[in-house]
Amino acid sequence: MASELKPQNRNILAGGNLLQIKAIDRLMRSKWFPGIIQWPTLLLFMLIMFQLLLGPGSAHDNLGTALTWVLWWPLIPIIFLFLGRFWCAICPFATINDLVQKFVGNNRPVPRFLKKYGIWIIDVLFIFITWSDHVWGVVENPFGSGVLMLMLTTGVIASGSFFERRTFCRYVCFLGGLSGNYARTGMLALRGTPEICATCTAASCYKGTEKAPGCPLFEFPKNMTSNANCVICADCIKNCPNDSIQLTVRQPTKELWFIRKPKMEEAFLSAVIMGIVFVQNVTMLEVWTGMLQWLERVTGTTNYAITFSITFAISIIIPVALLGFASWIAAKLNKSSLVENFTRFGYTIIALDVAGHIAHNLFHLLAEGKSIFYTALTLFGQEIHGASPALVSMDIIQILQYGLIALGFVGSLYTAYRIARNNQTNGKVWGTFVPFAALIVVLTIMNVYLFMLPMAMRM
Amino acid sequence: MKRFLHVTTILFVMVTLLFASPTTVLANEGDGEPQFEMEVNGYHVGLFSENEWIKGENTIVIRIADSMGMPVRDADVEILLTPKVVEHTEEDAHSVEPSHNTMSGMDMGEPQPEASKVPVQEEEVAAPLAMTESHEHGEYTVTTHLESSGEQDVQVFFHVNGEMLQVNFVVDVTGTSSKTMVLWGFVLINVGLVTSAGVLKKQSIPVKGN
Repeated sequence: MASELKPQNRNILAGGNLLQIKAIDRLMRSKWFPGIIQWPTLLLFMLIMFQLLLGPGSAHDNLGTALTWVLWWPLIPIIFLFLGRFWCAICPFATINDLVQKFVGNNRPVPRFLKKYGIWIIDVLFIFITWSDHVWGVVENPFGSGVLMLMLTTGVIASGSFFERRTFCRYVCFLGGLSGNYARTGMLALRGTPEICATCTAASCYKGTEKAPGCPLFEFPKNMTSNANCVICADCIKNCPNDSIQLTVRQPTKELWFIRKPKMEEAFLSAVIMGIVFVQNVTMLEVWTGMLQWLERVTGTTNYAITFSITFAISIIIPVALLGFASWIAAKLNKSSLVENFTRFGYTIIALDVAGHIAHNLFHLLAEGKSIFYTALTLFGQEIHGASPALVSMDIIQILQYGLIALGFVGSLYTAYRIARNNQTNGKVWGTFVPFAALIVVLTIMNVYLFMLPMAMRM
Repeated sequence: MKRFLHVTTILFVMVTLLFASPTTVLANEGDGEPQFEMEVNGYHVGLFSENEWIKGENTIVIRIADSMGMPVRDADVEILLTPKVVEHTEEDAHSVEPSHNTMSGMDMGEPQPEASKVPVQEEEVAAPLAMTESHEHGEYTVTTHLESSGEQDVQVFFHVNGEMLQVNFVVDVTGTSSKTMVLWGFVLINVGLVTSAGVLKKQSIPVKGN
């Protein structure tokens, strides 16, 4: 009866339910999913940890460094774009959380301060980790990368030991915050069928059943309007007694057009991520040494922690200030306040964030990709001398980077237009849209300029 | 699935125990970026040990680049490590900042490098070690055994364009590894967390009849 309420046989690309495809439905309902991907990922993580902590001290000889920073880190935003937060379902840290929880978990409720300030904590952690990477050389230092992983491991062990579900992933993990924002641009959406859920009083999707635990990220598909906290673990699909859950393909960025309850901290994070993309690019440029020397002369100190902190702060302040300025101009033209505009339109930057992030990491993936193979060979006593780690030429990488930035630009611009249209009932759509369109043009030009300059390699 | 879970748990515990083994850690830990850097005659010389300059086996790496930043290939590079002589202290007075890529919290030795374009010291008692070029252009490595801890003079000689250049560094060789302590610290914290969670869980189980 309930399943009759579900839209059937619609084209998948037109928003039809992917669970109509038997193979996908069977996979999602299988007791082996997502374990069949989760456990091999954990084993691979162990190999990476072993390499980072006990392997070669030089980053360009270390398989752990190559797998983490040349393969995984560049792939992660691409996964978010196509599969939403699915990575979080198979993330080894989450698996460790579940494992610890299974044996010694006290399953206490999430502390109130985490619920209230969770995203701000994520914002601060994200900024701190990026800062510490540059100042202490985490990426270039296998042991440093290993220590970062150990810190995250300790976090999930603490969380799994004392708190319910995946408290760490939802409220503390810096990558979770990033992925939550990026997943909003994602092409995969999981929702309950409103007509079916309206009559349901069981809430098995949230509470869990003998088939599977309740939603690990505290989501209730009946009320879900965002995929920011859905990891597509399929537990709700297994648990739902009414077969209400739908998994659909949607246009990239679509969720951003209809944010019902925009949050300042999420809007702030999207501007911060843009600043972080800037700083990652700037510090990899060959002109960075010259900039650093100029900063040293101006500040009168050669202390890198100080000079980098200044650069870092400027890079983060620029997009936040530009967003604030655009919001201020828009506030003059529509009846909303600066804060309301900032909070609502901060989400427009996310598409450009994702594009900038993928474009930056594409350099590592494609210009240094073969280093994964070379470092893996060293495990078997084989060494390759003088070979290029590049998978494709720099020209191709640059074309791809510009293409991605162009897509991000279109995505952000259209998102700004849709948000302006959805929120302005007083006919001030263009007055609201234009300042943010100008903001996106400026941020895009900055991105393109940075990608035009030659970069130094990581491996 | 349950069996698989148990096997994975055992593997996880084994890896954790492996992390806890100080001897294994001592043999491999280190940093990938030059801890000490110097310019001599337009050439940029970077020095680091893959083992954080510890007493015992060290893999020492030298990176040489020209004034354009291009790696110097096929150079004859030799290195001489000797315990620091007291009378050198005054000469080595001008120290430089450590490289910004080091882990500042890992107790790296404070560098005190000195660069000069001088002939090789013929009177040195110990023979310099020849370094071999690694698969990275401009990077030369050698594995050697450091007999003692404390400050060591590191002299790097390299022949390029018919002239011999020399760079002197002073490094601090530690007897024990702070990284081992870091790993032990993590192990202890995590074991403590899991143990206390287990104890609390047992205490919270309601007793029948209550």
